[in-house]
Amino acid sequence: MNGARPDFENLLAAVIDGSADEAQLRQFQALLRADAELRAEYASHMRVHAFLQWRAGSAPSKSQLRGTVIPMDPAPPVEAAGENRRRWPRWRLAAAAAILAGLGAAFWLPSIPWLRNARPPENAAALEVLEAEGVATPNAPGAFNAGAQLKLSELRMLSGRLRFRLDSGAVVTVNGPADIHFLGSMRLRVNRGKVTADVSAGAKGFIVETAQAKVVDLGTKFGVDVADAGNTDVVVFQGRVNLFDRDDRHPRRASMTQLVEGEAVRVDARRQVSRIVNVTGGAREDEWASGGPRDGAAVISSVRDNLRSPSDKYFYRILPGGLKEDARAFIGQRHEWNGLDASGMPPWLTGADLVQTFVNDHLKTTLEITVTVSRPAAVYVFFDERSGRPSWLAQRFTDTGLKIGLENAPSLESGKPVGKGPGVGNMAPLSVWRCELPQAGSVTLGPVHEASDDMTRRRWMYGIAAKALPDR
Amino acid sequence: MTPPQQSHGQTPEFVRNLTESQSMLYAYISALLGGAEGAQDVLQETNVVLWSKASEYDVQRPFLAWAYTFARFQVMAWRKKQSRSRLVLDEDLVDQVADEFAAQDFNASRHLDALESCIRKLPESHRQLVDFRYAQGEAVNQIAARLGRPHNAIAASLYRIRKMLLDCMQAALVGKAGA
Repeated sequence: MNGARPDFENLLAAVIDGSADEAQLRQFQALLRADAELRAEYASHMRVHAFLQWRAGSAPSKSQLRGTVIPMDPAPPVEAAGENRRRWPRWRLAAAAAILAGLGAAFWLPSIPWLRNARPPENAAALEVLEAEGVATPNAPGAFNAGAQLKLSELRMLSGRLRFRLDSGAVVTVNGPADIHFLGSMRLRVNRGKVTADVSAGAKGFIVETAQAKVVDLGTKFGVDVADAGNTDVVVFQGRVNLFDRDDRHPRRASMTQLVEGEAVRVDARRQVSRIVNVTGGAREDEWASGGPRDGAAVISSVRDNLRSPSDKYFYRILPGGLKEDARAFIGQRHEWNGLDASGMPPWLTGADLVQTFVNDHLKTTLEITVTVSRPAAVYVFFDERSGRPSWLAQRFTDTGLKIGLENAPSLESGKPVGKGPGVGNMAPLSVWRCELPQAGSVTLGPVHEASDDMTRRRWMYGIAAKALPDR
Repeated sequence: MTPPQQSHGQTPEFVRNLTESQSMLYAYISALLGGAEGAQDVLQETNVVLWSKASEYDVQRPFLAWAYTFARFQVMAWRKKQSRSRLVLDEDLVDQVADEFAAQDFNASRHLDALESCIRKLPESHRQLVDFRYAQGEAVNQIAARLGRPHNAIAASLYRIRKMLLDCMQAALVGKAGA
């Protein structure tokens, strides 16, 4: 048997992981048939594996949950007195179901199909309103004032913006129109609307589910937007999330994908996942929209690149009018654009639309980024010329002779603050290059380094901005 | 059919037995199915049958052994609805594993407490793997990619961790039984 053990261990891992193919299953069966000791070992491992699933809460099925919880609403179980229902372990839920079945067996047993098809339990969550702007609801006008303590099972907003803290610690912003159900303080179901969740360490595991997907927080700030079209857009601003098919309750199935900071995807009605290339930002962090700016005032309408790998899911963030002192330069980084000295940025550059790019893209020698503007505009590239420049830059752009500062911010872990205002902090001077587009159209930017460059001579990833040309 | 003399039906004692057996039944069903796929639904079906058969339960018999019998029937019924290519075990192996499972004597009411205690005793790196695999539901290849380690190394680590937990649980339960 000793010779078979490494095979057995690998095969058992594949079986438990759900990744074993038919040939592996046949080999696995042959080993089990031939060796009673391996059968005992299989039984033991499956037992521990199942207990670990059970403990983690990944074991109960949809039908179990529905079958156990729904009857509790009209009549709390005998054992439930004084208990917090949300904290019940699964066995207690099962007990409750069984006890209820005892109390109401006449409906419970014949009604299993009904229970299976019934709606999940309506739940509620306690929350504190932090901010409310123009909130209009169909049934609770005036209820949403800052500081209000509410317990809600659902939230329907016709318009406005509501920011609240759930008692789990998660801070959620909802932009209407929205239709949201609270399934406890750690879970929201978004039928429609845009939700941004800022999840503290204590609320790790916070879930937002939609008709298509289930987003499980792994310590993060993320957004979910459910449009009328039936798509679910998921954007990660900080940290990472796991994205699951909403209907996949398979406890060992891997997530559809994991998204990290700076990545965004759309899940359509057929559960197909596609990259969202642009996210438009607003004045506040929780103001965002998947896709390019829809506001006619924006100059940049889209930013695309030539990346084709399905694994590339990151987005360019477009900030209409966002170039100002201390504007974030890159996705997921603390580096900022500033004037090089106390005189600040040139006034003609301030207020330009800004594109946050990816700091690590400076290594991609085949990168092409196409910037599209919706009107006559000057497109600017902020380029680090310490070790030369690529040929495309001088071919398509003109050097303005001016410099802008890129503050090389200390890492978050260092505990040191980012400098505020012009000329403050560890500033790198980047040249400002300009390309004038006399009408709406596109310009394509190349890589930071060309393939022939000495890659050990570091250059920062460039910045991109655009400003409308004055009317002529 | 003559009703069993010891039948007590759907009593609080029966409810307690059924409740405390849930994780054991889930583990048993998972093992016979060769994984978790379908295990939840089979457990649900088993619970319905057990409830309907409550009046036939002889309180002199171990509850779990009685419940396993019905769970096994439900596993067989589930298998008939599946494509053969998706079945991890053939019928003979299902019977053998069922016998093996039934032969392992576990205290149904204390094993999860023991598991909790044993997880706390794991080294931090092992607890982290358990968290990735079970709390966060990540597949082995995802964990391998995240940690930059080979797939086989992660699978082997999880194998060892489950073995450690099993040994620890058995020791804990034996210790308690002997205390």
